[in-house]
Amino acid sequence: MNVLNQATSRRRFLRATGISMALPALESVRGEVASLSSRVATQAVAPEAPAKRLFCVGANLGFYRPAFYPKEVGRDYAMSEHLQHLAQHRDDFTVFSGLDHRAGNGHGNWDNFLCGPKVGSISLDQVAAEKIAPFTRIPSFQLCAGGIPSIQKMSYNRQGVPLPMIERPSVIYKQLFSSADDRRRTDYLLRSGGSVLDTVLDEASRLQKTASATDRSKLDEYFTSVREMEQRMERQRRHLQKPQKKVDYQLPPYDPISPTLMLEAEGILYDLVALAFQTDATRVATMFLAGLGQVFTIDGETLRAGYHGLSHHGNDPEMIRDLIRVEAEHLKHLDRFLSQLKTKTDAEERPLLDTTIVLYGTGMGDANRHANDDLPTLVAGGGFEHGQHVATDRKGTLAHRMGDLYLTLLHQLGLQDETAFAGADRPMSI
Amino acid sequence: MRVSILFIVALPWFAIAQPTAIPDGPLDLLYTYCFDCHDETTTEAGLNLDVLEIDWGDAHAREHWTDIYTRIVREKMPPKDKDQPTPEERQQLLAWLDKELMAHSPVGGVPMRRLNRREYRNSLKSVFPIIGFELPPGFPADNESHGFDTVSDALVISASHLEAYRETATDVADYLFPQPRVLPATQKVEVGVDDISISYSSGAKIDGAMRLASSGIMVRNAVWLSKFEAPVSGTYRVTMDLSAMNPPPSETPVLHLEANALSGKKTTRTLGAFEVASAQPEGVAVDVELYRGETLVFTYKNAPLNYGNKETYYEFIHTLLSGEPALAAAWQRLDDQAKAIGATRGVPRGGGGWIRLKEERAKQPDAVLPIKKLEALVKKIAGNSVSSGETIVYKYFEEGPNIGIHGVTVEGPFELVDDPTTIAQSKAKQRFIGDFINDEVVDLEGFFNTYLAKLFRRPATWSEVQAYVAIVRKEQAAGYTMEDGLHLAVRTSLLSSSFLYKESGSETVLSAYELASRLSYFLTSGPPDYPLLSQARVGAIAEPTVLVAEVKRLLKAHNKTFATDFTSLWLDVHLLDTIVPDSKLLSNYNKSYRQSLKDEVVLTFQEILKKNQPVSQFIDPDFLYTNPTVGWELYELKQHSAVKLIRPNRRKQEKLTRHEIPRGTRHGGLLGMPAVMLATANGVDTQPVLRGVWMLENIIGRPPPAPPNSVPALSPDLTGATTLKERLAAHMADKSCASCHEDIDPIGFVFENFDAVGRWRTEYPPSVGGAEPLPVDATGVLPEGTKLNDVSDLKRWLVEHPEHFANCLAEKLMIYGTGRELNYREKKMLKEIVSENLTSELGFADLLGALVQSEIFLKR
Repeated sequence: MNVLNQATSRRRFLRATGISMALPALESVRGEVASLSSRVATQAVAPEAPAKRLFCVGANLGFYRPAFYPKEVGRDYAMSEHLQHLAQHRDDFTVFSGLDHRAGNGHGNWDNFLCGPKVGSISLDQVAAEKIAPFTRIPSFQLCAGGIPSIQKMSYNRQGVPLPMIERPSVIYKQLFSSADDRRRTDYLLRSGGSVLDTVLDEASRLQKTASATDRSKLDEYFTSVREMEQRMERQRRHLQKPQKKVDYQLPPYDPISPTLMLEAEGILYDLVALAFQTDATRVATMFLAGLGQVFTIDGETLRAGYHGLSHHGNDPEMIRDLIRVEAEHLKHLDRFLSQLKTKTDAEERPLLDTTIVLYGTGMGDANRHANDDLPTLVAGGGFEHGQHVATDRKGTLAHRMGDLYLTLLHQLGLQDETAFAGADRPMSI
Repeated sequence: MRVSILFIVALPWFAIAQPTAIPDGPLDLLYTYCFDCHDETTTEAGLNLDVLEIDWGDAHAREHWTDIYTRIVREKMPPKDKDQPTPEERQQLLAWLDKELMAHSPVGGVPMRRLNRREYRNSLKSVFPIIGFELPPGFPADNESHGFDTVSDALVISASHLEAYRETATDVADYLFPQPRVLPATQKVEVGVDDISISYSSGAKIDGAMRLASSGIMVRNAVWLSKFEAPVSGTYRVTMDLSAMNPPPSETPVLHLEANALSGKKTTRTLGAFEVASAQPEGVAVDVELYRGETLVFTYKNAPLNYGNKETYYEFIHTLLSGEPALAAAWQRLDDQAKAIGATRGVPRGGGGWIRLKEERAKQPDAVLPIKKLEALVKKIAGNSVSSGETIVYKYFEEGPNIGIHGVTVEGPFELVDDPTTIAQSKAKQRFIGDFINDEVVDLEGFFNTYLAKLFRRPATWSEVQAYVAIVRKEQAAGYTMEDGLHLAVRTSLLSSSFLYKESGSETVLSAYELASRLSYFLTSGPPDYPLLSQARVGAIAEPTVLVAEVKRLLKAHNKTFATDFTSLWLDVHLLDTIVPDSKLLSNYNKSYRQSLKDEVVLTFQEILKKNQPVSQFIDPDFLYTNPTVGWELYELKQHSAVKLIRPNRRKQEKLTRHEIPRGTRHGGLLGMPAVMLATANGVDTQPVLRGVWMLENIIGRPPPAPPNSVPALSPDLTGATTLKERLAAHMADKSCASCHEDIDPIGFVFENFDAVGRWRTEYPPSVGGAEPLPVDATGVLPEGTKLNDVSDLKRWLVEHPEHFANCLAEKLMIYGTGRELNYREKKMLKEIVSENLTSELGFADLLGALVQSEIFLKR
C-alpha cells in the first residue's frame, strides 16, 4: 500500500468517527498559519505584480562613497568610478544617494540594513518571503560570502530571530540539486515518517473520546496540522521523484569558505542564486559580503593590508586606492550576475532580470568612521524605469528614508497591502 | 484494518444552560442609567445593554458582564456628566451581578495546553541525554496572552509547528542513531603557497614561501590551508617543506601545526611542534588525526614579535627604533606630513605602510630623532599595537626572523577515528537505550515503557507500548536495522499529542500526573522529575503537606529558572533584548550591561522568595543588588551613605553585590529598577502613558481596557514651552479618553523622574532648538484619589495598601501557572488567599504554597 492510499483511508476513517476535520483548501490552511504570528501569508500576492523575486546584497564595510556616487543627479549622470563596471546595464539600475534609516552609528547598527531604524525588526526580505514563499520549495535563502561573522546579522524574521546564513556553496547546491544518496535518505525519512503518522493520530483520537468541547477544538487544530504536514511531506516526496532539472554547473572540489577566498565564493554564490531563481527553487535571497581581515589577491597581486584595515583608510590615498580595488571586484561580480539574469529566463521565457529586484547596498555609510548614514544603494531589475541617480537631501524636512524605498520595492512585488515599512510610509517614484 | 469507533459526547453542564431573564429591579436600573447610551439604537462603544435575558452558561457573556461589573464598581460608569445612581442603587446592581457571576463561573477549565518553546526545549533536554542540545534559531516562537507564553488560548498549533517538531525529531534521532560512517578513498592533496590563507597581517608570500613572523592569537598570527578540509574524522599524513630565515641566536624557531575547523571554530588542537633550523627548505612528515571539517593551521610559536602583548611589544618597538634611528626618524616624518594635510595616519596599516617607511628611510639614512621625540614615538606606536604591528611585521617577513612554508602535502584518510562528536553520540546512545538494548538483551517493551513514561510524563499504556514496539518490528521486517526502527520510533513519539500537550481529559480536577506536570512546568519550566512522578504514582501529590514540600524542593533546585522565566514575562524584562538605548543616555551599553540589569531583577526576586519575605519587599525593600557600573551610572550611588561601591572598571567582569539600604527612598524595589524603566520606555525617551498602563497592569492590578483603535499615539515634543503633561491634558478634555486616562496618566507621570534607561532626572534634556531645559513634574494621583508627589509616595501607598500589589502578583502567578485567565469567582477566591497571607503576616513563599494548594491550581 502506498502512502497516498494510506492517507486517503485515514481521511475516511477520521470522517467516519465524526471528528470535524474538513480538508481545507490550501488558502484557508494558510489562514490558520496566519494566526500564528500576527500576519503571515494571509493572501496570495497579486499575480500580475511586475516583480516576482527579491535579492538583497549587503556589504559589511559598505562602499567608498566618492567612488560609488555619480556627481550629477538625474538621468544624464556621468558614470562614477564604481558604476562604470556596470556600464552595460546602465538602463537597468537606479543609484540612490542620501538614504538611510535615521538610526544611530556603530558596529551593532549595521544589522538594521534591511530592518529599518531598529535592529531586529522583520527585515525586508522576510516581509517579502512571507507572501512569496508559498509559491516555492525553499521560502528564502540567506547566504554569506567570506566567513560568517559572529556579530553581524542581516535577515530577521517576524519574531526578531536573526536567520542563520549559509556560506558553503556545496550546502546550497545540495539543497538545490541533491545527490542520489541524499535523495534516497530524504525519501526514506519522508516515507517512513508518513507511514507512522497513524500512530500519533490514533493516540490523539483516543484523547478525543474524553475531551471537553474546548479540548476538542484544540485537538481539531492538531489533526488539521498533522494533515497539512502530511500533505507537505507528500509534496516533498513528489518533488523528489521528479527528475532533477539538469543544470550545467560545476562546483569547485572545495568550499571556498576561507576568508581569503571570499571573492571566489562571492562569484559562486551569485551563480547559485541565478540557478535557484531559474529553477524557481526560491524567489527570495540575501547575500552578506563579509569584511574582516582577509587579505585579497587581485589580478595575481596580494594586497598588503586586509580588507578591514583598508576600510579604516584614514584618508590615506594608497589605502583608498586598494580599498577601491577590492570594491571594484564586488561590482564586477554584480555586473556578471546582472548579465546572467538577462540571459537566463523564467518559465515564460522572459529574462529573469525583468521580474527580479536586486537591491545592492549596505548598512555602513562610511566604514572609516563607522558611520551609518547616507548609505550607498543601488536597485536593478524588477520592471522599474531605471537609468538615473536619485539623490535625497537628508536635511530636507520631507527627505525620504530608506524604508520608503523598501516600501516601493514591496509594492512592486505585489504586496500592495503594505502601507509602511518600519514606519516609513511614502513610497518613492523610481 | 480500520474499525470505526462510535462515541457519545457528553455536553458540559454550562453549554446546555438556558438564558435567564434579568430580574425587574436591576432591569429598571439599567433602563434608567445605562440605556441612554447603550441601547439598541445608540450602542456607544458597541455595547447594547437593552436585553431581557442573559445566557450565563456562555463564557463570553460572563466575561462581558464581569467587565460591566468592574466599570460600575469603579464608578467609571455611568460617566460623571450623566445621572448617577444612588449608592444603594449601585449596590443593588452589583449584588445581582455578583450573585449570578459567582453562581455560574466554574473553577478551572483550561483547554489542553501545548508545550511552548521553552518547555519543549527543556523537555527534550530532560528526556534525551544530548549535551548542549539547542533548538534551531528558526524554531517557531510562541504568542503571548495576558503577558505570558503559557496561556492555552494563544498556544495554537499549525503545520509549521509540526514541521519544526518533525525536523527537530529527525535531528534527535540522527544524533542517537547516526547513519554508519563510510571511509572514503584515500587522496593525496598537494597544497601550494597560493592556497594558504592569510588573515590580517598573519603571513606574506615572498619568493615562493608563505612566511610567518609574529606570534599570538590565531586570527592575526596564523595561516591555514584555505581549500582543504578533512572529509571525515580519520588519520592523515602531513608533509611540510619548511625553512627558517635569520633565526635569533638564542632560540630555534618552532612551528606549531594545529587543527582547526575551516568554518572558523576558535579552539585549535595542537598536532605537533617542529624546530626549524635550516635556511634551505627541508621536508618534515607527521601522522596526525584530523576531525571532520578541520584544516591545518601553522603558526610561528616563539616569534619574538608579538603585537598582541602590550608590555613586550613596547619593549620590542623600543629596542627596534633605538637600534634603527633612521627608521624611527622616517616614521616621525611620515606622521608629521600626515598631520599637516589632516590625514589621521602617516604610516598605513599593512604592507603598504612598510613600503612607505622604507622609501622614507632611504631619503635620510642618517637621520636621528632627539631622545624625547623617540620616546614619544615609541609610546605612540606601541599604543596602536594592532595597527602598527600589522605594518612592522612586514619588516620581519622580508628580513627575518621568520619561518617559510614552501609547500604542504596531505594524504588520507587511511582509517576512521572517533571524534568528540561521535564519542558523545555513542555515550548518549548508551545512556538512552543501554539498559534495555545491548549485546546480551533486546528488551523493546522495557525500553518503550521507560522512554514513553518519561516523554509523556505519565506511565505509558500497554497498547501505546505495543504500538511503538510494532513500529520497530515492522521496520525490521521490511529489511531495515533495529536502529532504523528506533530512529523511526523516536521521530514518531515526538509528534505525539501525549508529549506535545499538557492537561487533557474530561475530569475537572487534574489527575495526579497532570498535577505533577503543572507544578513542574510552573516552577521549573521543565517536565516533572522522578521524585515528583513517584509522588504522583502513589497518589499523594495533591496532599497539602506533599505539595508544599514539593514546591520547596523544586524551588530549591530551580530557584533561578523560576525567577528568570516568570519575571522576564511578568515584568517584560525580555523586551530588553530588543531595546537599544540611545548612546547619549548610555554610551557603554552592551550585552553584559544588559545582563546585569536582568540579573538585578532575578536576584531581587530570588531573595524575597528564598527568605520568605513579605511581598511588599518587591516595592520598598531594605536591600539593593547592583554592580559598580550600574550603581554609579544609573543609580548614581556615588554619594549614597549606605552603599559602598568600588569605581567601575570596564575591563573587569563585574558582579552584582547586595547592599543594605534605608527604606522609603527612590532606591530599591521594582519601581524605578533600571530593567523595568528600560523595558517600559523605548530606549530614547519616556512615554508616561505606557508606563502608566504597565503599572496598572503589572503592579497595581487594575488593568485599563484596551485602547480604542482610532486614537493617534502622542509622541513627546519637548521643544518650546509645551510640556508633555500639558499635551496629555488633552486626554482629559475628551471624556471618552478621560475615563481611562485619568487612571493611567497620573501614575505614568510619577515615573518621569526616571529617564528611558532609569537614571534619575529633575529636568528634561535641553531641546535641540536650544530652549531652556524644562523641569520634570512627577506629581500624580492614584485612581482612588490619593495625591502623589513622586515615586516614593507611590511606594509608600503600595506598602500601606499591600493587597493591591499582592493580588496582582498572585493573579500573574496563577495565569502563568495554570495557562488561563482567572474568572470572576476565581479572582474572588484569590483575594481571600492573599488577604489571609497579609493578615497573618506571612511571606512570599507561603503565598506561593497557598496558591498551589488552591482549587484554582488543582483544577484544570
